[in-house]
Amino acid sequence: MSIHRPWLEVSGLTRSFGAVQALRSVDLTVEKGEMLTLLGPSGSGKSTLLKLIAGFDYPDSGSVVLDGCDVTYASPSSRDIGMVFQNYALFPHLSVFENVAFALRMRKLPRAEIAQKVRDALERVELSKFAERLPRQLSGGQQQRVALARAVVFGPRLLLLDEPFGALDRKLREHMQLEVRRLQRELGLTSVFVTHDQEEALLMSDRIAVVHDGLFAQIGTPAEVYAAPCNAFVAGFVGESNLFKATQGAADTVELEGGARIPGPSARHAVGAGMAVMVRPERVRRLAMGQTADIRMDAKVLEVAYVGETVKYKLRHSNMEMLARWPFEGELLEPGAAVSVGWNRTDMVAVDLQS
Amino acid sequence: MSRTEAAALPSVSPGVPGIQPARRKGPSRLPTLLLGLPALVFLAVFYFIPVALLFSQSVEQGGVEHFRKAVGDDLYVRVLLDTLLIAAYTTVLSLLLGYGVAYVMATTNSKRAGLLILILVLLPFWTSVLVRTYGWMVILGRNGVVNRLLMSAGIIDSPLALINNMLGVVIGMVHVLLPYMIFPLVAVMKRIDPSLVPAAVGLGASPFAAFLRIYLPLSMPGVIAGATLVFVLAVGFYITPALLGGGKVAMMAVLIEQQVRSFLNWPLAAALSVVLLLATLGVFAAVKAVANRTMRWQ
Amino acid sequence: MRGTHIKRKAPRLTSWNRVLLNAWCGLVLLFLAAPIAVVFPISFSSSEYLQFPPPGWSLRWYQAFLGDPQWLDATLRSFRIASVTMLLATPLGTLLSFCLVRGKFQGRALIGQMTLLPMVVPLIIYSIAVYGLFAQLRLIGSWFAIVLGHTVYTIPYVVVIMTAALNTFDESQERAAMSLGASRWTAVMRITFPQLWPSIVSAAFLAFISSFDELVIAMFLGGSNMTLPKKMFDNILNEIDPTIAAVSVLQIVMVSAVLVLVSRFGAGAAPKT
Repeated sequence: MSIHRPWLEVSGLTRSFGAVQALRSVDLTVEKGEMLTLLGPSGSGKSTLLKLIAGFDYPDSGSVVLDGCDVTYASPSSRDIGMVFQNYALFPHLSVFENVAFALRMRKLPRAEIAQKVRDALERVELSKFAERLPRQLSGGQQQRVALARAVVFGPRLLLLDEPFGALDRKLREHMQLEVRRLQRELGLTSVFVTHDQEEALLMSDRIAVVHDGLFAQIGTPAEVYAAPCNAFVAGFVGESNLFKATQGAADTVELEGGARIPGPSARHAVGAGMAVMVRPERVRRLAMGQTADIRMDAKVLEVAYVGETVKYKLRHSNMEMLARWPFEGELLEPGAAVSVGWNRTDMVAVDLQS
Repeated sequence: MSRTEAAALPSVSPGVPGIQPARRKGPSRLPTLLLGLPALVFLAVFYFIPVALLFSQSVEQGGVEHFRKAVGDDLYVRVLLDTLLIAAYTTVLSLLLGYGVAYVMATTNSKRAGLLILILVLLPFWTSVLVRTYGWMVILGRNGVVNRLLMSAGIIDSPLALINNMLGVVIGMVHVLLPYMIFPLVAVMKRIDPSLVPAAVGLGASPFAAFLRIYLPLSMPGVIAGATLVFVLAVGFYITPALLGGGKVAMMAVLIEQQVRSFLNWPLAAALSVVLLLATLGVFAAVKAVANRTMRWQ
Repeated sequence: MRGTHIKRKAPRLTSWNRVLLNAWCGLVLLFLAAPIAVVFPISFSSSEYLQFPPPGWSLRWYQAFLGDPQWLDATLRSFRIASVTMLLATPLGTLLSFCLVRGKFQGRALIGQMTLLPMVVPLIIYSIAVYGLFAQLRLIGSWFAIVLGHTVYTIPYVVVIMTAALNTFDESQERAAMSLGASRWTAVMRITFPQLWPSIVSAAFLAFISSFDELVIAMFLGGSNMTLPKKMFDNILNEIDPTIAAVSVLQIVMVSAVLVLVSRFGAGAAPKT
């Protein structure tokens, strides 16, 4: 009987800088061929974790095991990990070819093999014609593709990407996101991707690990993290959400802060416990006359924001404010207009108050 | 690289006292201190030790007797004050002359002009002080360019005394130290946001007011850096006062040299050196204190 | 490595102001150039005395310099001293810069300040100090003694240039190289060093020129063996003849040649304090 072993296993990793605890004993596994994203705000510890995996820092305690090898204290050059840096870190005095060939030269491969591999890598990122150029002669997007080619050409065991798309404009970023995903799947490269952009995370990942204050708030597939956030932080960080503080009641009801008792989501808390009810803005539906829903209320429009395909409305019902997001159907509601809105029990998720 | 099975991972939980393995230092902890060691040892042996030995000579035997002479004797006090005065003149003049050049250099939109000015400032900077001082002797001497021109134009009858006095020394020193004023100024000016002055003008300020209230204060760090550098260098100058002063202008450096070479009075020379150093460091510290207080927005 | 950044234009003063400013700037630059320009015609003067304008033209002073073994001796001595100083001060200063910029130990700032002391403390103080010490060790007159003194004098200049260069160097390139399999040493040699090379060249040239032109230390430590600056100094004081002008011109030409070389192969020749 063989024990299934994850490709990358991080156990009990802790790292503090003086009084600041950047990582508080985190555990993580990544399967072979998987793209896992570390998603979190600045200062959450995701970059620290990446550095520990890459080998540019050692943990206070805990271990990093890659393909069965304990690499916790191995030097970065011996870990066989490819890394794409935030600012690309291309070698300005070397040509594109030499940049990509660097790792192969370090491994002392025969010249012909190097040339072949570099050519293949450049073709994969569609930069074959730029082999002899210098980095400063390339655009931002092209430089990034060189950085990518450089990191994968030697067939690393793991690919790390540290917020690589920050400097690109929106269209280019979207293009590159798909590119990287395609490349990663083609090569079957296990990858860890770091970002603070939740849209990017949802798009690119097989699984997302939401990092908050040195701990993982939640680890799951994009769908899980989006539709079933386990606490208020994740709910608020991944996508927009409406969070209503409440107390868990009996028979799957909840008592809102104002005292109203409404049908609640599937209970995850003990009766009497404090929790929050989360409803995504797109689930707050506009109800026509006579339409029913589990929860129904009259609301007044406070603010309107037109975003192209959809319109975001800020609504108020007595002392509750909420966000709604509806497809644009030709007409905008004015602030002050009255609407009927509602949602069903299945649109709600019970989340922890603490993160 | 060890091949450990998952089961062999450290099974010790953090926080168990005494058993927790000590944290290894981060990778690539290149012993950077070691790199600097050769230079530091070299400086220690060939700089700090000789200077320390010199200073120790100032208090040998009679204790503070030499210091008393150095700061009490009218003659020596005179020299110190003259030195500080000349340094002050030099600094102010360098600032007046250098600010404009630095401004043009930092704000010119023509790459060529910027390059030309840079060359014209760099060339004197790299040229030997001796050569430049000699050049001034040629220009300012009794039979020099200036006097010849003025006399042949009939403006004066007898040559002006432009060297062998404080005037000549100051001119020479300003010339040598001007680049040291210009470079820090340019460095700071280049970092000033070019849209600030137009913004002020747009809000109603005249160009002059905008300069006075916006640009000048922002360039202060450069002014202070340059002025400090020039003053400190001027206080310790030897070559220019020696040549252009003609023995009539005594600055501390010249005085110290005399004591060693002509009078072999090492203790006094040492005491004078200490006084000179203290004056230099004193100016440094004073400027830093004032700068820190007045430029808190930095 | 980022792409190019957009340069913003400086504000335009009113045209009158600008004209006046440019004129003032021009005058100051003229002031800076004057003494250097003036030695050229004097060096070609046919008169033995300092006369301006020169009564006639002649190459006799150049011939006097090139034909005089004492002058040539002093020049060669200065060359030798400057070369060895450059070879000594540049590596020492560069390593020290690495230590100051990359090091993570206590007292780093203090050591940095102390390194700059030889630049700030008046040169005369150091000169007599080292004179006193070397006199006791009977090293006066030895050319190597001057090298030691000059090395101390030029190390701070090297450090200033190299720390500026290291501070602007993108360290993540070294990390990238290491992630690709290079050891720390290889990364520094293959990636950092080649990019620092222009600054090293500038620092080396600066050390060379500073040593070549240096007078005060050489005056004390040289004894009767004179360096070029010392001989020039004596010559000026004794007002002998315009040979000194010819030597000056040659020196200016040499410095210009060095500056051209530095602009070609070096970087950071203008001090960015």
